[in-house]
Amino acid sequence: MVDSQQNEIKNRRLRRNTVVGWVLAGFVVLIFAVTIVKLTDGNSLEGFDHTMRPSLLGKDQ
Amino acid sequence: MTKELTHSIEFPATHAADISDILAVLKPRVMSLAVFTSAVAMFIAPGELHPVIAFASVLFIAIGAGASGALNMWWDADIDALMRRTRSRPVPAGRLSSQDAFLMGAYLSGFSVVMLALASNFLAAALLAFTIFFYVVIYTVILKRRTPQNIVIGGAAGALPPTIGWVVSVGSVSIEAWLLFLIVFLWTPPHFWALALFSSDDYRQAKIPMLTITHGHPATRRQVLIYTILLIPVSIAIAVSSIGGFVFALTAAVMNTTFLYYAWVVYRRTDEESIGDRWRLERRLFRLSILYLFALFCALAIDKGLFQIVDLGQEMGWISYGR
Repeated sequence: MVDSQQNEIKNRRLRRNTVVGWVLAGFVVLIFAVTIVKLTDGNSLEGFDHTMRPSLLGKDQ
Repeated sequence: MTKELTHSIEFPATHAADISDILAVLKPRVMSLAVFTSAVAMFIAPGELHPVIAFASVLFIAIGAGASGALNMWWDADIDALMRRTRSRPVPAGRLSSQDAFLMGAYLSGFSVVMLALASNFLAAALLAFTIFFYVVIYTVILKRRTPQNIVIGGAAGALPPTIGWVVSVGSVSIEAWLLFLIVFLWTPPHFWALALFSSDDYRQAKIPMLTITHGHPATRRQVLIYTILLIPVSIAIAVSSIGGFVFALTAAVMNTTFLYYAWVVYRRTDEESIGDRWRLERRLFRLSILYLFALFCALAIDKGLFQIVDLGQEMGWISYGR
């Protein structure tokens, strides 16, 4: 194969891989953003493993 | 597997694929229709939707649409190679192998459905999965090469994205979501048959049983007119539904009148007249059909925007009724 053809193939591969890299980075950012929204949009998170959760107790308790 | 379900003709890649080839195999035009209609449906639906979730959902719907486009290009590479309009696509042109197109389509299909389920809800994801299945299996594999009703029935796949967008926002399907489905579904035949009128030679060469080939141009012109008339009651139904408003009613009146006028003119023409001016009015009808859908969906979004401004005005005390 001629050098110029090999260079062209290498260049295309580099371009492709660069774009794929950016797409993957963007995907990570998107998933992070979706996770944050899902966590903050829903009910408040409670981590009461060994005690009663306040939200389960009645008003007078 | 039977030969019927096996893609017998392999298209190996003879050149190194560029990033533009990878994008082209996802059918960006089909993607843009799915993105636009689903985004508008999400916006006009009554549910509350966080912008990040809306963006992610539109993106995954777009990837799903692109994946089905890639699978369509994998299956149809043999007929794409025969048509002037499609022979420069990456697979028939040898810039991407048909196997790569298949793998891309298959992986992206699964990915888009799973991600939409995680980002929004399972019903939306199930509808996206059904859309991909319908476009690839029902339309591309079964209908396209068998019946002139291919684009009528297959049009359901292109009409589902606004319904998916609605479900992303609301979580369920309602009459308005089905009206959005119906307007795109009934719009598809006049759109594609207008194209088929001036691309008949391509379809004949590829042996695709388009209505123009099986029933001739006069029958196609008549069907274009019938489906254009059918669009009118659906747009009236949307205008009087909860998502309709003044802007939509006005836009629908103008666009339906114009669309109907050109469909009527095209119906009255003979092939001799069309050949005489190089299918000028058929091409115009085709372009108008794109504008028609775009204008109607834009009008729905504008109406929703106006409603929101009025609501905000009432909340802030800028607008008050009575007393």
